[in-house]
Amino acid sequence: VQDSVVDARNEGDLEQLYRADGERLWRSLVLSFGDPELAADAMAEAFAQALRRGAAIRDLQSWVWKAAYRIAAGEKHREARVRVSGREPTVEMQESIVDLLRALGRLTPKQRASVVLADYAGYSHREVAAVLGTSVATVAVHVHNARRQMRGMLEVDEDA
Amino acid sequence: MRMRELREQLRRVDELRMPDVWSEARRRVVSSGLREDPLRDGPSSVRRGAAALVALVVFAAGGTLLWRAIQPAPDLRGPSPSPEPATDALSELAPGWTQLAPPPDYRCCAGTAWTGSELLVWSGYTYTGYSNEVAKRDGFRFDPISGRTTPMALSPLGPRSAPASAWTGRELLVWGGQDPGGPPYYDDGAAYDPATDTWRLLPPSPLSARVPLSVWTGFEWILWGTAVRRDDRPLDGAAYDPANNTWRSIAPGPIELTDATATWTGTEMIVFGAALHGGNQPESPTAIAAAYDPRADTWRTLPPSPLDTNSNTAVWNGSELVALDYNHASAAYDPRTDMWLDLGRVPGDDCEGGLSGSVAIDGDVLAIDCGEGLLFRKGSDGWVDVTPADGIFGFAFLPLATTQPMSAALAFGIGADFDPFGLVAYRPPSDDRADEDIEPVVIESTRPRVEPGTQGSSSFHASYRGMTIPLDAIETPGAELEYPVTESPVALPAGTPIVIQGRFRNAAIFELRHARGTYVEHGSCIVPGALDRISAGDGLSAFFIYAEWADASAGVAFRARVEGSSVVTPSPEVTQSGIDATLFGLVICDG
Repeated sequence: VQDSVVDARNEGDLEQLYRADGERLWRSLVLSFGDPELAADAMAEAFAQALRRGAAIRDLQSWVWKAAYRIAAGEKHREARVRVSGREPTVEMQESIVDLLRALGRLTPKQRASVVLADYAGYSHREVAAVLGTSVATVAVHVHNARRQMRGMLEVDEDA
Repeated sequence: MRMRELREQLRRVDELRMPDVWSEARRRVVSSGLREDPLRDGPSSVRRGAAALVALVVFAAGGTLLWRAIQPAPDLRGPSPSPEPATDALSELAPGWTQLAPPPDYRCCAGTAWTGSELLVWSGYTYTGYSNEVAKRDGFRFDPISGRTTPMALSPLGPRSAPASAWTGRELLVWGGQDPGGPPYYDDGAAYDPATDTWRLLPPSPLSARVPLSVWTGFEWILWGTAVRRDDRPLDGAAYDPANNTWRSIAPGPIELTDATATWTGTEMIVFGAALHGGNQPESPTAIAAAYDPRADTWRTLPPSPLDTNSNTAVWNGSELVALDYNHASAAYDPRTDMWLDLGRVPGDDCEGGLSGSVAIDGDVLAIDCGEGLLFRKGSDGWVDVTPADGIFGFAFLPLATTQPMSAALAFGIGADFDPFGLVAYRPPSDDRADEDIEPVVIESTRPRVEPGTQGSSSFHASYRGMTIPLDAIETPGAELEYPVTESPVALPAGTPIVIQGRFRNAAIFELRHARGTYVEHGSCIVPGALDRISAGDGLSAFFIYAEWADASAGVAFRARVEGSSVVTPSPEVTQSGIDATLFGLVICDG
């Protein structure tokens, strides 16, 4: 990337972050928003904007996660407002993952993001709250309710 | 299925192979394709590129089923699509008040922005109190932590007072304004890039010269109406898109305002205030408001607020519009219920005209009224006086335009003789339990309805960290409440959220905190006075829980919002001492 566009040191740090943490972020976004395309788009946008901002970002990992989730939520919001729902099938995916995403899709958006960040990404409730821009108590409740509902849904699915 | 099994289920997603997102990010930077017009319908080209990228990888992974995009219920109250810096220099300050380095100049009514590390100040004037002020043409960037000042390049705009301003994450936008004493008004604008120390003129807007209200949405800068008293009160507005350097006219607003504030909720711009004549005569009994949706280009009128028309201010705390007036009344508007909730009296001495303004700090709201600092913590039922022990007099808020939630409020200190005496920051108290994951108390109930004039009993079964908490509360309207002490009271950390599960209408979640004020009857039970005006209905309900605190024996009460059968507006911790409580009983009060 051109030197005039990004700070080289920042780019190196960001690439290291991408190599170390990128897959966890992308898969968390897939679980949270149920859409691999949207996850890739939001993540690319977050990294692109981080490259633009350079040294102004103090905590790259925290910034990128927060930005990716906000961009993805915004895109989801935009899709809802312009009635993009019901898109045609796009890519193939294994049955077990489709079932998992279908179960997660029955949660509210905040429950889904909270439980994914806590139980898949391994973040503490405090860290989840920072990513989602909400309180620790809110996260605790969303995680609790999400676990309870997921338990019921997945048990039903497995029994079926 | 146990928790370990849920985590294993989530691990199924590890079978997916991630596309080369890094190359796509680099490509976007080089091509400056950060974001296409977000208002355009249909998928963006970058989105289509991402789709192709993902399709290729997933096919390569050997999928067996056709993937259908799962479309969960949209979160219509989601955050702004534009990313926001996760940290700013103010987040490293200690909670409470902090004296910062003195800025080179103290200006009223400048174009300002907080970038996350620097304060940008352009034009405005030095307040003398004698109406002889002259606007300044220059500006500066100021780092309040190090005290470093950097002069701005000279703007192509003329000097002025009260230009509308916004921070896009990259540029300071300024437009309009007036001379320090009033007209003439201005109708031009410019953008300042601190990275290059350069200005660029904005194209001509469709708006007439004025001092408009404005909000930054994450994509557009919306300017509307007027923020100052004038005979003609324009109802038109326009939105500037910095990505395309274009303006668009917006639908005209439904109400006239002159003394008002504008705030962005994530989906709407809410303008709140009143239309006043020069002699302070209002044209409405109370302060009024309207909301503009930029995606639909439509307005809606909000119900009249219970607040005074004179000297009021409002700010969005992430879920409610928190407003107060110079009579020390306060109220919150919730777009989900389209209702105003009375927040009770704001503490402090009466001093007409002393309301300086309010700002949101990570969901909390700080107001400066008559030189006193007042804090409203998100989800709480009242204001807390946070004025430092050595007192403040005449604090004037530095109006800040920023794209990010502030982690601290910035304020210029203005003395009794209009002498500047410093730049200060305020951060709300931190969460003492922030390093621990909070486990909620879960209460299941099949509460029978209690008819007025009859005695009813409520049966609750609670659990906390695997422990069972038997709860039985007996309420007798008109008589003293009876709270049978549970046989095994459980110590709960302050701030513990509580989930009530059941199919009755008033299921809710709330947190333990101290109650304040007198107790009054509310519906079928008795709650602290601060809750006596909670409206009936499916949205808001009062909840009362009896708890024993280490330093007091008192009930604690809550207001919570019902969404379906389990809900939720959890309150941030607000306790006087941060101590733990012991849970004894619970009463749910129908509104």
